[in-house]
Amino acid sequence: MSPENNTTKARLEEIFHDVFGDESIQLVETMTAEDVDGWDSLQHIRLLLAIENEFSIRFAIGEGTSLRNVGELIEKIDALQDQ
Amino acid sequence: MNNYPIEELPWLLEAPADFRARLTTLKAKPELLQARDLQTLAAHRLNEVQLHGLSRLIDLIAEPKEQLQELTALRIAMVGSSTTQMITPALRGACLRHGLLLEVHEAEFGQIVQEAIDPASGVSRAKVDVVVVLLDHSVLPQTSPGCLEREQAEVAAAIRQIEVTLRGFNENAGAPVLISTIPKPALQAAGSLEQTIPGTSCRCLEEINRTIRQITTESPNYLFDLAALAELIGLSRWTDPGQWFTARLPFDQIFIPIVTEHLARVLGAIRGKTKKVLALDLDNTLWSGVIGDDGVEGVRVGQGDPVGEAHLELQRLALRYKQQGVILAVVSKNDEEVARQAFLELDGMALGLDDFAVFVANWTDKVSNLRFIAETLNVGTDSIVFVDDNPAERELVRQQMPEVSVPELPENPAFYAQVLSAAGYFEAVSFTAEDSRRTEMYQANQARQDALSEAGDLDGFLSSLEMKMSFETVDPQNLNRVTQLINKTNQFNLTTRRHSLSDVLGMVEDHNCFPYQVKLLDRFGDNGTISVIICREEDPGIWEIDTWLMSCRVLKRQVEDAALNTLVELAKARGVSSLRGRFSPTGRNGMVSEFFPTMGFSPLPDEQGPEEDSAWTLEIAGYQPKTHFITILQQPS
Repeated sequence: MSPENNTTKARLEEIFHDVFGDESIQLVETMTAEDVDGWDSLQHIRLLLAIENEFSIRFAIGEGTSLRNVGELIEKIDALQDQ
Repeated sequence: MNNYPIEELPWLLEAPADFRARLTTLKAKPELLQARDLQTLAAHRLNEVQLHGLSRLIDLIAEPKEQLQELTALRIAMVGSSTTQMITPALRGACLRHGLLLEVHEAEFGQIVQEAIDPASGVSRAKVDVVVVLLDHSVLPQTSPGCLEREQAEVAAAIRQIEVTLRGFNENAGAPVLISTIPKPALQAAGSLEQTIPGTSCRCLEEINRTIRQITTESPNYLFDLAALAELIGLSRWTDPGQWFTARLPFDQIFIPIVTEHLARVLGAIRGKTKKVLALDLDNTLWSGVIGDDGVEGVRVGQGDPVGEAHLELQRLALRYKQQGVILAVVSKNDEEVARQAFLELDGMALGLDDFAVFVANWTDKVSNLRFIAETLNVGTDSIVFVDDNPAERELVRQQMPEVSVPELPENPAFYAQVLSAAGYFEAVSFTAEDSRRTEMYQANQARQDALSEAGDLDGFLSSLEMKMSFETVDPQNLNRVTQLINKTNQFNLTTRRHSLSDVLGMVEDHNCFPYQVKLLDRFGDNGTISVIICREEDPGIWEIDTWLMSCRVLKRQVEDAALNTLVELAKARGVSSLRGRFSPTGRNGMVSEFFPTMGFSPLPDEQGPEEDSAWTLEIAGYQPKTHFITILQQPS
């Protein structure tokens, strides 16, 4: 895992803590919505909006909702930041 | 370039860097959480996630949340033509800023009419104080431009639906509706001609919004002018099409903080949280420069000088507020003579000495001076807005009087007026003719106090006032003023029961209910409606006092003595044998804690009400009329 990935993951973890109000969440790449309490479609949108704010990126339409797990989300964030 | 865009809430302080840590600390011990902790955090520029965090804190406190008693509880239903769930938690956070503890019943979106007309719907059964209806342009069918008849038919249908909705909620949920106007879309295919072609959504929405604004001024319902807010921000930024396509979010969610702030403000105004006093610093606030150092020639204000115009703009805004019923006060570190002279000698000022109900210029600290202003005007310090260019003064007042509203002022005075206006401290839900005369009434109050020191003894003073009272059944024409008093009077208020306009209208029509309003005239002017007394005859022969409140500007004038005499006469004429009253302490109505015993009521064992309440009774038969110096002009037969 690259150090850059690590940073993204750490920042993303803070966003998860804020959005779900739960500091005990520890992100792993294989994690999906089913693994986090309250990760429904509404929370997913909040999550995407908070990510856009924190990383100053914009997901294209449909991009944020088609990701399968946390690993893909991190990859997407990094890809958008590199642009 | 405008560096102070309204959506960034520029009148509030930046969120503290340790916001997250402070939230975590409070979360660890919810049983110790106080209203003040929540309000201190809420008083910052918070984003959705941070406001949401505050909402979660509220939920951690065990019911019935007694530790948050200082906040006013308000229960609303949220109904929208699109998703409202995204904004609900943020709205609860924003409501803390306005002293409200908000509980929300959320309806499924797109079900507005069904929820309204079905007496068994979720909203109808939710027992809410207010139904909030948020509309967006999806309520409008896709129309084809060009046909005027078609436009008229579509608009009429939409308006009918809105009327049915309002009536439905009023009748079935028994609550007033706070309804939004509808922001126009950013897609305007006809460009400059968009508003001229019949049937374009812009033209239809213009017409529908006009009607919504009109209906809400004439009915018990309230207006939330979302279309005006969208225009303030800019329609091209208002919606994020991606968010709309993905999740039916009717506006870009980065605007959640400003939208919820505006909504919370109106909800606060419904509950009487509107600020009443604008206390203004002078040097470098109302004009540029220091009058004591620079002299009349040295300070800049007025037309012809850009800096002078910037300060003039703030004066004009203050004058506008005064015309809406806000009381203006000066709080300045200056020699009083020098400060007053400035108003007489400076050219190009919008404000004159007459515009201020209180003028405090001295070298005492501003905290003591603001307390003095509150005492003089008989208002709570929490109804003061303090405007000062000096960050140190602002900080001092914030620390020592957290209940006072202190807007951040930008470095650049060109933005003073915009930022103060954006803060919306004086948001009201109705405008009455008396509002525009309030300063006059307070000035007359000052004159009366002067008369008191001249007259020497109290009796001589009271008789010199030549007071005349009329005691009237609440008149449907005067419901706005009566409802305003019911919802904002905190101090002289025995039960502090809040009633909406529709509740009051219901009382007027109810044969077992006797709502009265008291007006007072004197040598110095017309005080207008200053007291409201509502009795109910639930058991035959017994009048239960639901509400007895009085405006503090007529304190110690024997109004309550004269009013009780009249009330007893009226009750007697209707065969009533006793009056019953209740005192419910709120923390703000201490001045009437001894009202009932003082007025001759005897204590009654009370098994129904909350423990801290006390119940009282007065036998009509043995009543000795009170002596007073008020002539009764009129009373119901």
